[in-house]
Amino acid sequence: MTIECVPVGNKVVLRVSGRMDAESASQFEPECESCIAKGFTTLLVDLGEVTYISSMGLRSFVAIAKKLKETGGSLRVCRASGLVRQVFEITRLTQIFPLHETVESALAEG
Amino acid sequence: MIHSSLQSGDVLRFALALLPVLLFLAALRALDSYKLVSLRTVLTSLASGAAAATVCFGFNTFMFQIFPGAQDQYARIGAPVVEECAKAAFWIFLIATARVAFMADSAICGFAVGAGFALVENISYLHLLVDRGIGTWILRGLGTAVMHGGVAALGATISVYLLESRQWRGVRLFAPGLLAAIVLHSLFNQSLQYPMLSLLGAVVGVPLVLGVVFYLSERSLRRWLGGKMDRDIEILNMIGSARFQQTRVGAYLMSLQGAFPPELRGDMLSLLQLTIELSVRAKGALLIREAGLEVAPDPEVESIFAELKYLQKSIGPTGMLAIRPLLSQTPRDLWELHRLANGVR
Repeated sequence: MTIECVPVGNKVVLRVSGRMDAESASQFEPECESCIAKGFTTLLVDLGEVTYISSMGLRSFVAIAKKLKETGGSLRVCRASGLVRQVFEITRLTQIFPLHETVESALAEG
Repeated sequence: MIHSSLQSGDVLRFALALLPVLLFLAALRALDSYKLVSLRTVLTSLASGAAAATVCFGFNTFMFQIFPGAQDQYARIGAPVVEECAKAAFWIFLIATARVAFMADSAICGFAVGAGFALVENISYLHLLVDRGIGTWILRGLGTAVMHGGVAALGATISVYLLESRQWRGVRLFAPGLLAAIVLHSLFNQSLQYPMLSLLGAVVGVPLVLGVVFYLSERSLRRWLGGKMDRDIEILNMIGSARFQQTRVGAYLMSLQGAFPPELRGDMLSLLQLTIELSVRAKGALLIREAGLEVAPDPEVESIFAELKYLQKSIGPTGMLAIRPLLSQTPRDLWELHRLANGVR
């Protein structure tokens, strides 16, 4: 799994690609935490190139969403498709962070 | 003046006799980070404990009348057997019907049954022993009442532990927990001649044991949640993929080709997918709770269960029997369905 961070104003887009399984999911949380430490309060995670997500990956998303919520920020998930989108919708994690069709629509929201 | 001091004395007696066990129960529920037990189940457990106490009160009074010379021996040995069996009826029902599936929720429900029992017992003693001093109510409220909750919680926990680790069933599953509850209750009653010792046993021992139970339960739940959720996601992935027929599940469904028409096999696959989706859905709620966040009501769950019911009817008993090997139906799987069906939030 690879993660690329692209700052856009006061927001940051994290482009994730590959499989977000138990092993690789452990990279995701520190990467998000480092962005939060740099002062970004809105994190957009682009999952367009992610083909699989495990429970560990979902846990990381919930933990980061909670941290951002506590600091008044937000986590937005964009371009999730196939199994990844299905898993987010079935688990109803979308009640914590909404899914966006495009990075642009996620950036445009507030 | 006399009237008001009597009133404050009564309030203190009532508070000492009834509050500690309720506060202990509230603390147990607050400690459960996954919020496994609904308020309704806690209240039902309390009510069943209260009913058990009423039955035992009648039975014990009857026994005292039959054996007037053996009241002491009965209180030490006979009463613990009768009372623990009466309390166990409800926690056994909860475990047997998969309404509780972890050590923490079984401990909370077991404690609630014991608390309900202790509340009725102490209320009756408040009327019978009006002349007793504060010491009696400290012992009854903090000692006896917490003991009633603690031993029932331990009995239920032991049974869930055996179910989880040894997959025991029936009498073998419940006998060790019930026996442990009886023995501890009996030991407590025998140590009542040393009130400080029995008080200390309940006040220190019960929180200590339940603390360990909660720690082990959360560790086990976390492991189960991750492992089972990953397997469910894998199956969902397989169902949606082109190589589904090469998987164990796909090959099994293909093997039913001669026995069931295509539309029925389609329903079987839908049922399997829906069951897994429900399982993932329930685990999603646990993940949210694990992080200490609130779970919003699920507006879709009712229609999913209606669809599940329709599919089960369409497939029929023979078809359901045929796909049984594909449906994971462990006590925890059934527990998840119970929670979703009852809209536990």
